[in-house]
Amino acid sequence: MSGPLLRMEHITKRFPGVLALDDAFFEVEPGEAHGLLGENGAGKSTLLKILSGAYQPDIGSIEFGGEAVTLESPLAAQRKGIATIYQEFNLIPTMTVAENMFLGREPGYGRFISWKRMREQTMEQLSRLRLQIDPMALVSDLSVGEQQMIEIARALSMESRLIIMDEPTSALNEQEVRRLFHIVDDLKKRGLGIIFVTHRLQEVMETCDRVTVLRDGRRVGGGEVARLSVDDLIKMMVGRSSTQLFTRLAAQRAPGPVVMKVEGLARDRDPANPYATLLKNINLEVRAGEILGLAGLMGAGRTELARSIFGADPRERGRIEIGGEPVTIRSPTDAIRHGIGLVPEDRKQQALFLELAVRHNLAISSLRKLSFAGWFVSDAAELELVERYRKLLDIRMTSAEVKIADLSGGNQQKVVLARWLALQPKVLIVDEPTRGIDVAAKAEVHQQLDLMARAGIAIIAISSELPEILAISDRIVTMREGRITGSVPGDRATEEGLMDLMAVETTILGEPRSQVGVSEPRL
Amino acid sequence: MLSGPRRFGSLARILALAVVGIALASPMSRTAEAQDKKLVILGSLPGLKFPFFVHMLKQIEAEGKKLGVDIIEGDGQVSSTKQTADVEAAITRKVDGIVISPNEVDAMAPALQEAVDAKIPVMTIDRRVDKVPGLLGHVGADNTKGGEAQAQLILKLFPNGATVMNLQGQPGAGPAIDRNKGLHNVLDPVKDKYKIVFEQTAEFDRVKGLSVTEAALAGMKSPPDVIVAANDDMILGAMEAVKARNLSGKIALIGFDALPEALSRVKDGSLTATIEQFPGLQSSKALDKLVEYLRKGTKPDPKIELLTPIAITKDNIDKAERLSEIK
Amino acid sequence: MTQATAARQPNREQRSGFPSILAMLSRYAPAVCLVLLMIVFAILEPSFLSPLNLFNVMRQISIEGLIAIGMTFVILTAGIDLSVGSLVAVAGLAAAILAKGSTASSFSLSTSEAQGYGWFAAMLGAIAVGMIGGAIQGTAITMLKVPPFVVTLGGLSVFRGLALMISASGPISGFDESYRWWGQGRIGPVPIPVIIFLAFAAIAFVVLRYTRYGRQIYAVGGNREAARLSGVNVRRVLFSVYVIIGFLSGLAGFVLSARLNSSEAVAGIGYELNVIASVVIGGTSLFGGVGSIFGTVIGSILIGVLINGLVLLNVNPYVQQITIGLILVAVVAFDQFAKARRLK
Repeated sequence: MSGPLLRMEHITKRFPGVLALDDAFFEVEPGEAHGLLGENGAGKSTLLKILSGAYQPDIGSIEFGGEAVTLESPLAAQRKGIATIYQEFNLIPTMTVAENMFLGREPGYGRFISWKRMREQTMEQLSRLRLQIDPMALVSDLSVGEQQMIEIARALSMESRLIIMDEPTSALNEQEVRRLFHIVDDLKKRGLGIIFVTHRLQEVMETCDRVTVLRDGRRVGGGEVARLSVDDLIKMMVGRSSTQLFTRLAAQRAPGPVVMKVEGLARDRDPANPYATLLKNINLEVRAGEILGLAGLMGAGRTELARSIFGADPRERGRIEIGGEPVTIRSPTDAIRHGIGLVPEDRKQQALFLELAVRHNLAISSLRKLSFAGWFVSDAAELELVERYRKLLDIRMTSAEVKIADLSGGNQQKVVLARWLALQPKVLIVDEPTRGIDVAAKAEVHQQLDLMARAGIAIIAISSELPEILAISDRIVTMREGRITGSVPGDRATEEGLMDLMAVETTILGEPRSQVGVSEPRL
Repeated sequence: MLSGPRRFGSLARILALAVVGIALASPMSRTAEAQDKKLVILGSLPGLKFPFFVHMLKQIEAEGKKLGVDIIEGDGQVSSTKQTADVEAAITRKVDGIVISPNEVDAMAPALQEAVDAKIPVMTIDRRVDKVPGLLGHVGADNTKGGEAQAQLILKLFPNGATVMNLQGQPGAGPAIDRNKGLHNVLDPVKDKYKIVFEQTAEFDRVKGLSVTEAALAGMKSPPDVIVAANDDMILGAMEAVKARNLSGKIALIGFDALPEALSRVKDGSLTATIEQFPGLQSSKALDKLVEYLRKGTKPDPKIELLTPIAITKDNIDKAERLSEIK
Repeated sequence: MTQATAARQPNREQRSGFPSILAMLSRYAPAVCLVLLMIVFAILEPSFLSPLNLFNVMRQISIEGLIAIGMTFVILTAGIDLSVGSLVAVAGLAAAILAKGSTASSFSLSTSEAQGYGWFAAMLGAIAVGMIGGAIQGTAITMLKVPPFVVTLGGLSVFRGLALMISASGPISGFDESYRWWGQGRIGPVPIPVIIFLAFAAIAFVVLRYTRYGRQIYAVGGNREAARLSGVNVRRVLFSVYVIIGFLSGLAGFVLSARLNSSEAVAGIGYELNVIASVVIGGTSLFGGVGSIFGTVIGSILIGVLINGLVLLNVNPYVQQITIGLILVAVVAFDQFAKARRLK
């Protein structure tokens, strides 16, 4: 084949308040494994979603196999030969391997399924990948690695020419990773293109032929892997200095005594939530009036840590002290009683009552204070509370009675912050406090966090955006694979330094490569 | 731009649906009342999902046509609350009289008291309400007597004693309790000769009649001499179970209600007997008496008329009320 | 893209400028349907509007209405209770046994027959039975994590069986006058069951609208995870709504037995569906978090008016059932339609 398999040019995609892709360029050759790199929010997932047909670009052209194409839906992308294997698989766990393999295009006669043919064809597809899996096995009985292989086999059975793998190794053990890489080599030999999206730079060095690095929705670099080092990649990904985006507010704060101390916290596998990262021996201190940044890549266990401290998820071991006194926290109610608050990661799913008015959303945790006789909520007291925080946080709404769903993301987040402020917590954990809100609102939220810290609240801030962490934190703790890997004072931290602490070490070929994943804190 | 008119449109459509539905469903009711002096009478039955009550209603309507009165149909839907609501609505409409077979005699008493208080004459059929003194009269056949008739037939068929299997009706339902009581009234004093070897509810239901009998027969060392059931549906179900075990003709089967289907089985000999309570006759008689009172002022005499239920066998099948319905 | 936006813009402005009376109509869709229905019936049958008839309708709905109030609490938490009809029967029988001191039925009309403990004990007993039933189910739902549908489907069967067992000797009837007053009496022209129903509707309204507990119910139903993370004791809230509906089912069982002067094991069969229907017609979402007592009261009245009107008009009984089914679906469809319009 002459020319590239895929060429995307001038791709621009704007969401309300965010320019996700800005004139991006991306190209994949046939028979090539191409790494797509970038920080969280650099535009990788938007690019993937455009490729898989989930989003349409505002501007830009896509050429696939030499001709201009539009990918108007996931089905269209699939038909053209572009298959995507997501982190969370698209398999139906209660059905058999064969059924999953041919879902929606079952072989048979008219409306009737021929189980025999389906089984035989599944065997055939599996043997192409040298897999020994029973076509009649239930997907839920397979290991994560096997499930992924099924996804790949399904992609092949659809005559795909381009396979996108989104963080394919995050859930695999070493042996499974090795097998995956063999298969990737195999696919390359057959002339397929592979797009490999991962945080694990080591793996990129091993499997990919070329890379493209995105930052702020643009292609900022790339080229042949053979000519690049891991350090080069990190520099490309991080790029600018943090001061360009956020003003550092932490400088003049003076943290007080330790408010909360976590010792030896651990979390084992929870059958109710098997994808959660396991936590091992977490020790943490946070001081009054301090913002402690918690940095880590996806899957590092930051959210799990926050929820375990808050009592939202079970934890197996660990001591928590508040103001020097050990406390028992088994539920969010316990945590709240001891003065801990949590602004959860997913606003819509975990914090908001979308059908209810702003006032009800804001006051839900403080109703006891607003009630007379312990029971009857005083409208006047509630409205007064809402009014106080509307002024304090500058929440923009037409009235306290409007549904919270009608507010912008930034204002919704301020309502959630207000909910916790109204309880006057000692410790407030904010998980991705500025996710999905525009830049102006982000700055406002940062300012509010700063004011809260100045008022003496101990804040633990989790963010996937390093510039944000750097801007607001007095101290930054990094996590990796459920462990704490470092602790850096905010004014001395750099994105490169944090990246080193966060990046995942792999020992894929048996020899640990430790030049990047330095685990000693650089103090 | 279109939202306003469209919103009105949907409103109008729903309104129209309601009006059309009601208009279609209420033929003649208005015109009927416009003609003066034509009597309007509520005919209320416990539940029209049972053919037994449909038969009674048909008899009331046929008699009404003959007498030149209008009948309002009331379907109690096997619920005392629903039947009460029907009676109350009839009072509101100021009907001239009510013929009713109460779903539950005690539970319907307050509603009938209301009718009496509103000076509306009430005739009860089939099930007697004895708590409301002002009722015009009653035509019925005692369910207990019917149960006794079943037992008497057993004594006649098996003078030397027998083993009996008893399929009871819906637990808690009045007729089920009374029919069972009647059977026991006769059989219990002669316990040593007539033994009830199996007794279980089949809820007036044919499928349950079949499955309960299957299970019972499977569990017994020797089959019973008689299977007696509190209605025809259950005995017809039991009959299938008996057939399946090749016991046809070896077990006497006795039902209750004299439904057409049961009658045809009695005729061909596969069913031994069923009990006739003359529900149609009760119904038409009750209406006769009511209309007579309304037109001439004569009160029914006797006030309570009980037709004697009889066991219908092959020999006296011509006495069955619904014989003509057999094809 | 920009063109499309420009084209849509003026449209939106016109829409928002539309007379607010339409917005009102769509907001109270079930109430609007009720008024329309009443107008239609009043035109076709003038006696429909007579005070006697209207009080009759209210009395007819009051028993299921009481349960519907409880069902509103349950459905607001995204739960369901299918056991209410059976619980009504058990509670009614408990009341009857307490009132009469035995399971024997008495057919005499004399008032001296009360050898039992009187209406007050009967009422308390019925309520206690209801609450215990609700508490057992609430425990299974919150502690054993069995879905409410399954637990209460089991309850539907268990309580009915219990009722049949208790009343093996037949219905228990013939209560004294003070007992019957709770079902048959009036204060002025207003039947007692109607007063009970409206009183509890008022209490429930206040609880849902003005108390902490009410807020927590909406929160749990709207977003269970968010409620938990906001410090709401989700289990306690879920447990409590089943006790509340048990309380109201028990009370309803007592009032029904007083109304009919009889407690029977087959009382209340099919109540669950009528009750759920009135709650849903009243605009409460089966997914939880949205709804009101006002809507439930309207929904209950709407069903009562529909049945009463069709009977008054002498509609063929079979056609009545068909008409009721169609109109119920139409009302909810209209409500959904109006909501969709409003959101745009």
